[in-house]
Amino acid sequence: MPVILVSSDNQDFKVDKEVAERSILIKNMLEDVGESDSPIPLPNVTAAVLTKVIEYCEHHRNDPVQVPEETDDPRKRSNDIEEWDMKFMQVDQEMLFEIILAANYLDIKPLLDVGCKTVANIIKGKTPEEIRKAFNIVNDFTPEEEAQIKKENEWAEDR
Amino acid sequence: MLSKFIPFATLPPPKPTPLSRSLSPLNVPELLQLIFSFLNQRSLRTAILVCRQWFFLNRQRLHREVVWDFSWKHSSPLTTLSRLGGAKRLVFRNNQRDINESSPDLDGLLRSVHPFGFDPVARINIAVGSLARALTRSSYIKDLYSPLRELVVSSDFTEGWINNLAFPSTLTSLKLDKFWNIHIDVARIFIVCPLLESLELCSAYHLSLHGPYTERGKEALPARLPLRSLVLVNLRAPQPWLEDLLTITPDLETLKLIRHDKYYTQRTTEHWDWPRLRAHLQSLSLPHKQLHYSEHWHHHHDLLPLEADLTICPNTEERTFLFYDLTPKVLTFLKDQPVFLTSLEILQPKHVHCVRDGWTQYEKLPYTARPLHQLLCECPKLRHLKTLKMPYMTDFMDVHHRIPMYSAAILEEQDQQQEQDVPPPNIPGIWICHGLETLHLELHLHDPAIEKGSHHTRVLYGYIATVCSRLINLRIHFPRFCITEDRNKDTKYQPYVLEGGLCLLSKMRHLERLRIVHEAFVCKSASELNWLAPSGRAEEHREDRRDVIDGWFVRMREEAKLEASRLESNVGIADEILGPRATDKKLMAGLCNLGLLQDVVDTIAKMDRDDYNILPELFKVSCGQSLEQHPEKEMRSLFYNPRPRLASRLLNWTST
Repeated sequence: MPVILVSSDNQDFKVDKEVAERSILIKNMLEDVGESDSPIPLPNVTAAVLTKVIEYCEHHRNDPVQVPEETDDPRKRSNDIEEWDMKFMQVDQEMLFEIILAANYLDIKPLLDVGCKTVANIIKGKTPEEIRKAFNIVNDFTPEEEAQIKKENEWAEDR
Repeated sequence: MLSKFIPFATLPPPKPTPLSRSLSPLNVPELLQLIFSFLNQRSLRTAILVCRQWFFLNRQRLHREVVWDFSWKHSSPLTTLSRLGGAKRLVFRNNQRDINESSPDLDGLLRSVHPFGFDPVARINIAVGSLARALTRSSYIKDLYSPLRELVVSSDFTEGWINNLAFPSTLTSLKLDKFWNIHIDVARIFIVCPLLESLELCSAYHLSLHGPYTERGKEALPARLPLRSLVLVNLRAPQPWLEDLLTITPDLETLKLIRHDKYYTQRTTEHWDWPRLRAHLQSLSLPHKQLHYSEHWHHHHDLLPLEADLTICPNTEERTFLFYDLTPKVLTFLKDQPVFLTSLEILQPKHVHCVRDGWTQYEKLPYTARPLHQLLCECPKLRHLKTLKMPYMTDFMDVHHRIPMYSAAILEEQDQQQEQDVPPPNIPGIWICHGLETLHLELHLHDPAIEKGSHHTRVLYGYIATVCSRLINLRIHFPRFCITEDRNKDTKYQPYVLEGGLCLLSKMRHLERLRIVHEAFVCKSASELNWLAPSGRAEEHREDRRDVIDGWFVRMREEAKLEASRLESNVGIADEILGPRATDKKLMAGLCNLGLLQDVVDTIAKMDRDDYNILPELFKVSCGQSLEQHPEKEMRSLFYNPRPRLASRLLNWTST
């Protein structure tokens, strides 16, 4: 049975229940509501972003459901993104950020991870100044603070 | 769902970062933290410099570790001191006989560490006054300062020294490891370090403790300790000592009681009432995640730790198993639990010499590598594997049976003399645990019938790099005890030179720590090893490596011939490679030249290109007995070429 999702700009999206349920938020909603064909409003997601999110969920509709890992594993990596996901994430920064926010709101953990890994990859290999430029961030350290943090870390850096 | 949000209540709130759009995941602390969780250490170091919010939310992710190893050349307290500001962890290792007046002033160093920065007065205590003064000139900004949290002392310290050592009150983790027996005032540690969450006390002989057990200690101690992890190795204490301690540690998640002492008959713990301890643990209802009781000499009790573990912490998904040996009984048990088996530690007593596969040494250590190899081929979820002794390991890895083609002549010759020493037939099979992240391997190849040539290490490195390509931490110990009867004979291993194939590891994308321990460091030309550090990738070194390869011309031809005749007599090798991974094409392609010089030649040609990034994550290396250090530094100290000193120059001059 298809589910109707309504974006913030009032566009209807008809998707398979299986696809929609990649979102834990929608899954829980459907469980609460029970059998009903009333459309689901998603006030935080625009049509453009929702199109992308649905594209992702369509492609991953048959993935096994990810078990939430509660382990304190610091060994997360950003270089294990699947090829399809990598291509999928080749969007401008604004869209990338919106996908991440949508994935967070809709509770789609694998999409959230892929989005955050993509941002991590943008950060990697850049100098602090380059990172600030890339994300339009203002440096709010005092020169003394910056010098000290640099000093504390420099011995561990490659030379 | 999201990574843990760590509060920073004690710090001034960071100013909000102005962004062009108000809606950005970078403005959501939880999402920023998730992004940071995917960064490696190198990127973290630059990323925290971006702005205050990024710094305060994520600085705890940095592993700021200072290591002071006495076996390093140019090891001095001053270098350690200069790095200590803001370090989270200090590792001190001294393998000299004992600490005396002339030994390093760790105590002075620790006294200079202050919860809110450095104590300039204490700093002057440190050996060289002038340099210390130079260091005190810089003042620390309070808000940015992070105090020392973890301390590891591994040394042959005296009791008086350790029981008076100035442990910083900010410590949350403490590990003391002594090579011989040790008597530690535990109550003092708990009082001096009230934040301690993890305590590990190890002794190679026996560990006796006084502390909460004595009446005085009990009164002085707080009613509740924040301890989460307690590890005691070779503990010698009355049972009520531990039981009393456990009543004031309601947060204890990990308890390991490890013994690997051969003088067990004199032990107090021998008379412990284990069912009573188990009942006591259950009555306390601690939030156990891991619990171990491991003993070595009673191998007929080998399931005791497992049973205790399972009855007390039944709902844990991840476990660490500690064993002294992998008996068939344990193996069967482990195979039945493959879902949660993600960690395996196998300990062997330090004093026991090598034991042959299938051998019985005083009927006490009957099993070794064979069951472990089987387990590795059948446990797909394994992620951490530590301290293993693996006889014949390279033979198990030799999927194409190439080792005999190098050593056939030697085998024939020695077969007649020592029939019982013929190695058991190869067990084919490929490790299935492709997600392995930690591997600590201790090879024991002590069979005199086998010439351990460089083809063995080529098989070893080539296999590991291909089969467990996701490794983060790799440590290999080469045989120490099991050099054959002829003790003067050099072992034939060449683990560091190009021919030995260490460069086969160059393709590993995740490797962060690498430690190759061998008694004798043999590598005459720096170019053969320095590809590990960026400076060794310069054109001159590449050229040297090409020259080495060119010198193999005749041997390569010989090898091709041997390989051809092997193929002739051994049709259908692929069929012999068993296990579910045999269908993995990429894996099989990686293994196709396993053990051959050709494999090394191809690897060097590939890695010595400008567009190839060798071991991108590697940041700690050790080739020898000392602890790992930065690759560049390790290379510098290995190939250190001091200019002739003035005295020797004068001597030279006078003699001529």
